Amino acid sequence: MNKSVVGQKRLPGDLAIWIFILAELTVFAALFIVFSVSKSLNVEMFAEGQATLHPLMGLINTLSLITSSFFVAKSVLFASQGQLAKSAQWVWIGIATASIYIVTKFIEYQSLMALGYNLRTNIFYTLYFFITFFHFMHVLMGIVILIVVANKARKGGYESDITGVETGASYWHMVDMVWVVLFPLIYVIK
Amino acid sequence: MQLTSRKLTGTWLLLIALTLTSAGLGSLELSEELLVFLVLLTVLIKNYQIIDVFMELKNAPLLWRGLMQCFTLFIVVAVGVTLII
Repeated sequence: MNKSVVGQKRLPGDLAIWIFILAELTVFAALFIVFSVSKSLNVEMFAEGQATLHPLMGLINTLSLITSSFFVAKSVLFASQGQLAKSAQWVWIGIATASIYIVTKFIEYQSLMALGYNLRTNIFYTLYFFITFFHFMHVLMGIVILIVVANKARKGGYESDITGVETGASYWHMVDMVWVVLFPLIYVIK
Repeated sequence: MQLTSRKLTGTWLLLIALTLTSAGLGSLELSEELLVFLVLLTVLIKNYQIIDVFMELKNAPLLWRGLMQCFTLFIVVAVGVTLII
């Protein structure tokens, strides 16, 4: 983004990322619908499966991703004001906050697997592990993108154009949006 | 609307409050239909806030803001309908 066009109607970030985001949301939408339909067809199995999950960990993950998204949004604000060092700092804080999600997810996977649950246990666990791990991979990819953005911002790489910061942030917010649907679907609605 | 730090903080607090509300709803003795409706309503509000404020699409061309909002609405309605029916 050129700083001189602040205030005009404009699409933040690169056009390609928005096409990619819509494609990603389409895939996740299909997975959510498959989960919902399977739940409706296997009410008891899903209730038993959901009872083995850890709602507190799901809540911690949601708070972690929302807060990380907030910090990354702050970094875009600082970048738009030309404060690139501060922008990089907030991206790093966002990454650190998201690492809570990674640790919590590992603990949850480990505790479920220790109890003998895995992808082959039944359709609930197949979908639970598949959908959450697919999202987990997106979080990892988002973190890699944010590391690249933070490093470039620290070196003053976005002095005349912050499109790169906005692009990375938009992808990160999409990852957050997906978890906002996943959390209640898997942990809350029983 | 020019994005400000205050607006971002307000949105973050709203998202946290809605998340805690949504988690709390799961422990109440509500009918399945009401639980699904209320929880998905919080999802819709949260994602619209993320789209408008964090993604800064409130000031984007209508096509992109509309696409993202319609997509979120589609996901919420599709999940809600399949869970209730």
